[in-house]
Amino acid sequence: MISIQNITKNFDNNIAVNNLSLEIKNGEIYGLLGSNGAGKSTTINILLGFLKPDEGFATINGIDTTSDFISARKHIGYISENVSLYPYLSGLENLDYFCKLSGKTLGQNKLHKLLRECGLENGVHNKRIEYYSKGMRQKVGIAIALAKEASVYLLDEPASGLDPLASNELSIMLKKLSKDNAAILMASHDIFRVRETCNRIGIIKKGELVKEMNTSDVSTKELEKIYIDYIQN
Amino acid sequence: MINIIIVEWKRFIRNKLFVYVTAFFILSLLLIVFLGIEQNYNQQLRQTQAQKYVRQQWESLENVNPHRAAHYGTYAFKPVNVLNSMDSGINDITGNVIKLEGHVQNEIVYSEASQSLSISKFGKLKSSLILQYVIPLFLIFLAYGSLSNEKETQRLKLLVFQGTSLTKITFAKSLSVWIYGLTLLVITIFIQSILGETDLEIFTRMMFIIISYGVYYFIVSSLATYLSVRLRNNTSALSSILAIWIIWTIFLPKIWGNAVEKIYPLPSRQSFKTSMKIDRSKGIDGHNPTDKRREDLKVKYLAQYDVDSLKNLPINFDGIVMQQDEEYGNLVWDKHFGNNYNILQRQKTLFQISGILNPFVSLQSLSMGFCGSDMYHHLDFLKKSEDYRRYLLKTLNDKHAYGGSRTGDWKWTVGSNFFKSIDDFSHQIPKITSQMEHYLIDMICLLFWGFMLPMIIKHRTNRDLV
Amino acid sequence: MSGYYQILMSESLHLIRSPFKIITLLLFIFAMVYGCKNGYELFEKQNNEINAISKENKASINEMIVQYEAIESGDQEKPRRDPTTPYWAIWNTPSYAFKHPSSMMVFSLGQAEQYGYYKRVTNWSSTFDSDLSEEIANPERLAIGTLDFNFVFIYLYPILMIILLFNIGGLEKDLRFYRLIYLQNITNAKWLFARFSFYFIITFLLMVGFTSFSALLAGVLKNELPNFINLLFTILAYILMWFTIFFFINYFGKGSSDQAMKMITIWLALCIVIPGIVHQITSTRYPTNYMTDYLDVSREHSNDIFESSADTLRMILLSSFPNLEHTQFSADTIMDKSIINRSVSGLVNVLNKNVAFKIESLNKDKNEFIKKFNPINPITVFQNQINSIAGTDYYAYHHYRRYIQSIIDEKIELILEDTWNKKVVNKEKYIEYVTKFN
Repeated sequence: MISIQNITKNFDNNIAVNNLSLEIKNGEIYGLLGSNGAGKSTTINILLGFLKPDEGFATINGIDTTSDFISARKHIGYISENVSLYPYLSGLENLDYFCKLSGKTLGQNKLHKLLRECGLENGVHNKRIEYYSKGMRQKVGIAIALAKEASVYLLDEPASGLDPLASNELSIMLKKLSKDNAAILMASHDIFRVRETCNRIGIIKKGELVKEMNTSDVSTKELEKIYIDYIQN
Repeated sequence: MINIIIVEWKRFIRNKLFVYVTAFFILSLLLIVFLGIEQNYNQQLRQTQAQKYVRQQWESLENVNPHRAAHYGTYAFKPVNVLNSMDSGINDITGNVIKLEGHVQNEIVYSEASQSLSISKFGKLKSSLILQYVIPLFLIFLAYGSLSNEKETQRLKLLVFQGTSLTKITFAKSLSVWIYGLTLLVITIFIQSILGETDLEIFTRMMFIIISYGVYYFIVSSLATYLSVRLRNNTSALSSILAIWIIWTIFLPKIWGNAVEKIYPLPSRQSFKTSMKIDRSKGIDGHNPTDKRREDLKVKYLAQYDVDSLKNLPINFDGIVMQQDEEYGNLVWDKHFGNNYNILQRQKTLFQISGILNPFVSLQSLSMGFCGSDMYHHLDFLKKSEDYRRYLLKTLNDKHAYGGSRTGDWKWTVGSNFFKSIDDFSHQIPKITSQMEHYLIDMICLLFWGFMLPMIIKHRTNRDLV
Repeated sequence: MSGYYQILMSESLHLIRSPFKIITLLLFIFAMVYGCKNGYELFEKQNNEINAISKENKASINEMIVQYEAIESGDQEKPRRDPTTPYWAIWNTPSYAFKHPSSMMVFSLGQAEQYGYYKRVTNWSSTFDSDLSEEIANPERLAIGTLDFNFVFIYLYPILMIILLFNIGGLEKDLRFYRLIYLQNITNAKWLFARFSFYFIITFLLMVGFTSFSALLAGVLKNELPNFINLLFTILAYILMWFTIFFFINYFGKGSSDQAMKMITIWLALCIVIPGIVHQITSTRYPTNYMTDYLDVSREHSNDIFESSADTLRMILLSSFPNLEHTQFSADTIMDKSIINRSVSGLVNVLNKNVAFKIESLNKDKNEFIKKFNPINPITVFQNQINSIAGTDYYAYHHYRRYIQSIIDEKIELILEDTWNKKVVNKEKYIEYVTKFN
């Protein structure tokens, strides 16, 4: 479960996040929509424990991300906009290395299985990452998060630059994770992808959460109109 | 191209770190040049004092037999010139004092390196150290990302599709960096000429120093920029140019230096001395009255003066023998030291040829050469001191032989006026124009690199690289 | 702990996948081999030279013995330099002072190329004679220096480390996936430490392995084991110093290029600029000594001695060497000038020793001054430490000069004693001299 309580973050008198509160329960995929510089990445960085909020607090499964970020991180799977792994290692080796970093030694079969689950066929597992497309790297990133058996997933513009097929596969993967009871926060400005993937959507503007809605309540077109209205006003 | 250079300089100047580093460089160079000149001045003062002191001793010789004075001898102290404050070259490890006396050619002794613990493997902090090691490295730091950054941020595409050729961009970027190096170089030389004494000879040498370093900086900035455009990213460009820098400055000079000494080996001191001794023993021994060659010479002189015994000779035969001994000794010395000199020159030439692969050795050689602190200038000092020794000994032996004494009269003495009348030893740094032949290979190698790199840039940078 | 171990073991994969690093490592090994080879060659050359001189000495001793036999049997007249007098007999006793190279020289040539290592010692010798200057060598090559193990280790090892470590933690920042690392239940410091440990272990093991192998080949383990262990500890301390510096650079680094630039700047500062500054300051404070004091003794003062009357010299000799009081000549009422002439080298030696003391004191002050900079000049400290272990530093040659002086003193004492006791030297006595000085 992800919980954000009244967090505020300033950078040199510029407000990045302003009194933001939200809760994402297990099994829920929350889409945080906002334009560039709206405060989406700052929010994710606070949840990851890389930034300390000026006010308020955030918890992951009840663990404070500021005071005990090391414990909190154990529960987090993170997928960034650009998953750039070690270019000279293969997808399999990268996965193995990151698993070891988190203290897990998985057998070759398990590693292959994880990659396959994320949509990577056996044939590419031993190819170096430098030859992977962005979508394939993204899948390795998801495999890393899966291997960690995280209960919370934070995604920062995960579909940016992905082709429609890869983007769709990502949605399927996230839905599968939410079915397995994971709490997922996906920051994006891709209205269509958010609408297709998430259960709940929040619109963030100048660090404030200006609108929240259930996906089932809006069509993609309606969502686009709401989003533009809020951002323009 | 000018526009690109201007923009590049704006980039430099608007970077605070660059401004601080430049200010730091200029202040350091000012301090280093000042300290170098100060240290040089101290050394020069000591050298002059020492030379004056032994001259005073020489001039105060009173009622001494000329041959005794030949054994008393004098000393030549290796002088320092004002440009040694920029590059001390080999001065720290060669000796500084050479005794000039009868019968024997001594070696130059008492090097600075033998008078204390080892300190620096790359020499004292003179301006040459900054100009050879630190500034090129800074030029590399400025240049390595100049194009790879543009590539990574996709700006390069924009520039090229605006109609500027990649070759032009590469040249402009490398020139921007080169101008910076050249500015620091000119500032150094300017400070040196203001703080140190400058005459026409020193000025000429300084101009050659500017040209040599200028070409080297051009090579470094062009190569770094070229690698920056050729290689995939910043890191590859930086690691490659650093690897080249390390190979050029640290690795190759030592490995090649050791190799040339093995290709053209010098004799060991012991074998050198033994062979000198063997050859010397074939000549007259001035102090051995039973020497057979002495007898032959005696017969010759008795016949020449038409007398039957040495007592009746109007001259002092001992002086003649001593001069004969010297002249034979000189021949032996010329043969053996000449052989060593030849080997040293062959070693130097072979070392200079490595400039084809490593322009740094060419620069180092030219820097030492133009600052008057390389092997050729050292050998020039040794030669001049030996010439002086021969002049001194001949004057003493001639006085001994023809000054009015008779053979066997070892108690005959001459006054201080005679010793004062003998010129003192003085050594001036040779005119650089007379030494240029020694540095042709270095100059050719530097120019080769200076022309080759622009050619490579011209032919190997094309749109594909964008 | 197991996580640490896992990262450490995984690092080999990163290394193997970087051909540039592997090539650098191989080049470094090549440089070490080349450096040790140079050290071993000089060690062998010096030993061979010493052996050749010893052989020559034996030949000249045999010649002298034949000469004594001929004189004693009446087949030969005494030559101009009469070998039956103790003075000429000792003069003709070839005694060389050798600085036998330590087998540890394989690891450091140090200042060995700046000094002589053999010297024919006579009663007229001093510790600053010109035959104690360096071997004949190309001065430019000497200025550039020889690539020995010490140089490779002190100057090139940090460069190897820069190449191996510059992108550790930097690549992740360049490619912006460092956050992914920190999210894997490990802190930046631990992860970096584990990765650094790998390079620390492999390079330290490489150094230990290589030096042990070289030591085995050069006979170091048999003759110089304590010094070799000392070398290993010095290597360990030096490696630790660089790892600590580089660790902090990478910990606070912003990317590979940033780290590489900082590392190379630190290397430049520690290896070239700071020693250069210390060298320059030392030279300004203590300019090169032209040894005019020493030159004075060898000319002016000895001249004064030669010009003194025999009676004066006898008095001075008796006061300088009180044990001469009990000799035959001291009781004589008739003056024998030849005995005095053969004894004056003793007085010149006293003057030489006084001057040598002054010069050595000045050098000592200079060294103390250099050592004051040790806290900011670690490279020179380690360099001289290895030179010292290999017996090739200034102090090793300082001891050698003291050894030479002790032989000079012994020779003079013997000349004075036997000359003043009017001893006649025959073959047996000559052999006694030979045994004493060889």
